[in-house]
Amino acid sequence: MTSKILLLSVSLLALSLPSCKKDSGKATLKMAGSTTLAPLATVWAEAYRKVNPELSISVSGGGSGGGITELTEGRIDICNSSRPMKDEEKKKIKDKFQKDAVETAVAYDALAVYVGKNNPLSEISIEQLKEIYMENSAIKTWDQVAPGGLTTEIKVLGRESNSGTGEYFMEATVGKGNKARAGIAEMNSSQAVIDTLKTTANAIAYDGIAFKTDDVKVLSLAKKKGEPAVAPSADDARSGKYPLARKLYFYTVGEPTGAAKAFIDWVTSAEGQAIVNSSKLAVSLK
Amino acid sequence: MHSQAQNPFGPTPYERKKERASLIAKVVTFVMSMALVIPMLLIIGLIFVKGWSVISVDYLWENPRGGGIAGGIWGPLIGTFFLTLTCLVIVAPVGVLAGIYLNEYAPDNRATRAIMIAVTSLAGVPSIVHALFGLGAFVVAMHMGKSLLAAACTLAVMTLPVIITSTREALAAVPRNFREACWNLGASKWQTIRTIVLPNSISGILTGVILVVSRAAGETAPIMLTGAAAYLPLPENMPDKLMPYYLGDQFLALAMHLNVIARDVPNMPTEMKFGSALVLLCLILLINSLAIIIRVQLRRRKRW
Amino acid sequence: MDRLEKPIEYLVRLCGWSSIISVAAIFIFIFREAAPVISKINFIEFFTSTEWHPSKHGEPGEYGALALIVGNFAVAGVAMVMAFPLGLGAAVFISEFASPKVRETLKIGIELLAAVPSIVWGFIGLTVISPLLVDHAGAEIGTNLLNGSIILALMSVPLIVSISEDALRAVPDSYREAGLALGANKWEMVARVLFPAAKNGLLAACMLGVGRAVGETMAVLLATGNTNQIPHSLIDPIKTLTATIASEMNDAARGEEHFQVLFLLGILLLVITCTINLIADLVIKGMKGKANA
Repeated sequence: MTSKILLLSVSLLALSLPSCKKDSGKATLKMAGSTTLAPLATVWAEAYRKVNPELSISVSGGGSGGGITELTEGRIDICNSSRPMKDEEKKKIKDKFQKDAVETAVAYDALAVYVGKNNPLSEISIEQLKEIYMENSAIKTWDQVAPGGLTTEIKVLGRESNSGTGEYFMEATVGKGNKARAGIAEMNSSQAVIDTLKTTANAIAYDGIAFKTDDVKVLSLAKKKGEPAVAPSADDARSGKYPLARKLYFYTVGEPTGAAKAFIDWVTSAEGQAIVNSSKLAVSLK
Repeated sequence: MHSQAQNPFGPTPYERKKERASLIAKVVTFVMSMALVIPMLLIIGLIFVKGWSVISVDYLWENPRGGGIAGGIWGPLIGTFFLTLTCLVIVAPVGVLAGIYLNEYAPDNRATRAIMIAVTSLAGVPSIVHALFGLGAFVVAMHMGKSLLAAACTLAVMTLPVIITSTREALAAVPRNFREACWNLGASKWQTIRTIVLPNSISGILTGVILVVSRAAGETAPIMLTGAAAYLPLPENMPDKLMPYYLGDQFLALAMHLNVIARDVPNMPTEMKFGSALVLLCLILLINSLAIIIRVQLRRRKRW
Repeated sequence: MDRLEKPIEYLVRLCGWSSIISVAAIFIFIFREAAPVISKINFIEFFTSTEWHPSKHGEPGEYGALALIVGNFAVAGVAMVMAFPLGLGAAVFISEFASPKVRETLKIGIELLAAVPSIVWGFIGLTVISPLLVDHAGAEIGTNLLNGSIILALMSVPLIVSISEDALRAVPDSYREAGLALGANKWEMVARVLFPAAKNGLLAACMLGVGRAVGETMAVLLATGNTNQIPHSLIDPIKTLTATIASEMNDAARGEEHFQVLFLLGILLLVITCTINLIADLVIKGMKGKANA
């Protein structure tokens, strides 16, 4: 009996052993970082197999900060980031590798401000968003945002403050270092944001433009009160006219070489950028 | 009341009242049980109804594409398989031997009681704390990185009490006189265990192993921090598709896949979310049914 | 074979200690990661403030976990208020009224339900229960305290039923017969004889249910709305310790204060659940001790 058990465990072990053996014939490229960029990077990696079937690319999340840490510790080849690297992060890389961190913009990401479908409001300014989202906000109902608005209480939704999306939105509206309004419902998924807006007529929220559905309304954005508001379009996101748009970056230690260089060149080429638009996950560079 | 006068042996009003009270008690508790069973059946039914339309051979065999929005669930499915297998390879020998120790070797002293308390405590540790432990111990301190191996080790620690407890119970069910008979023939302790105790308790141990598989396949939190990836481009060419992950790689798993597509994929079709939930649910229920069937068979076949 | 006897015994003994080694390792490694922050953090603020603003990129953060702790206990407590009476009712039905066949069927059903993964429950909360609460309970946000509690109640019921049922069946039949012979109806027999006799087991069932509910992560993460506030009504969204760790850990880099504080939350959670489980264990042991005496 024991021999049978032994045989069983040995065969189980043997079955999982091949998974230890690294296939050395194949080059690998490891990417990690921003959760905003991860789905897009995956789509790129899937499509790149047709260009170079010999290269295996892995993509994992971890957030922009996590990705930068992994790059600094030399565990990955490319860091996906939804924000520019901070100076002290660049310095750490320089100190460790004696090489600069090299940034390549790969796409634009635009955040949209969403409200309920039947909300009469059609545009809002960054200033107004700040008044709504900042600490000790005086705005309690919609007609305080703009005259003629809903008289109902305003329900403020956000994303987790530490997610790339939440961090970027808060910095762009409330400003760096300022605290957020108490009682913001921090939706931990984009799906929850859209689902809640669908059912809650008096809510306001922000998220990637990709999440737009017919059940929610996207507001046009102005930088200041009284300035013309801009709807989130690809062109206005690129030109910077639309205020809530940012670049997404690949970071490498030193100028990219070999497989990494080929991949990054392909991503920024017309072919790679066409995939950005068809995936609807972000806005292409051109 | 009238009929009672005609039948002196019929129930008295007092007895009728008692009968009625008992019946009410039965009905009330039955309704309470049904209040639990019916919503659950409805929910499971709903998952079946909403998810059924996407289930096909292609859905099971294709890798997810475009960050999960298209394609199927092959990658996560095979990831769950390898994860569970690796976890089992680690935990099964240790857990079974620990069960053998507790039932056959351990003296009745303070140390043994401490082990028992540790087993109970370990079973009660929340899964997210196991995740933190896996992150701190395997990913960081042992330099495994976020990988299949680190996640499997984390799950192994988490499922250890399951297999220890069921092995111990299975061994304890073997009557003592079986062992005594064997000792009297001059067999050593290990020989007795090997030739008498284990063969007679193998079904019970197997049940424990199956429960480990079910636990490991269904958990999300521990693998989320220790190695499961949200998105991963997977190989499509043949031999690699069957074994897409190495022990040191990040991997996809069904539970994690459901977590990701339920929450964070833009314009994800609802039926595909329900489809993944359905596959995961069916997988777990099938594994557990297997454990139940083995247990029922075992009870039927018991010779003592 | 004799040659192998000793080495095998050592191996078996080592494996026997694996659970203790694991528990010790869990404490050691979680403390190791949290250690740098333990001396720095203001524990009064940690336990009394609701201001949770993790530091980003070296800026100082605020770590008030009060709302998270309250949220965790609120969702577990409300879940128990729903789950315990129903679970107890079901346990009474199974152990006292059901025919053997019905009993076996129900027990198998309950065992299967206990196996449903927590992510599936969370998914149900997010997609099925959330719209129901918005339409019928007047909730503004469907993922809230009540949603999480319903899900946790459904999740912990199998545990409560099976432990309660064990406790009820452990009461000797002579108690039941004595109760009935004294003229009690079944209702009275259950309430006045069975419940007092099994009270330790029932208490343990309730506590283990709480322990399970407090430690649950994925279901709560998806179903409770993730809002750092002390709830004032059942339909307020909340945030729990477990969900905070799960949702923030992926964005916190090792070496940052935020990362260490999340491990500190883990220690808190570990202490809470271990205490609950150990007390429940003692209660059960007490029950067994009494039965033997």
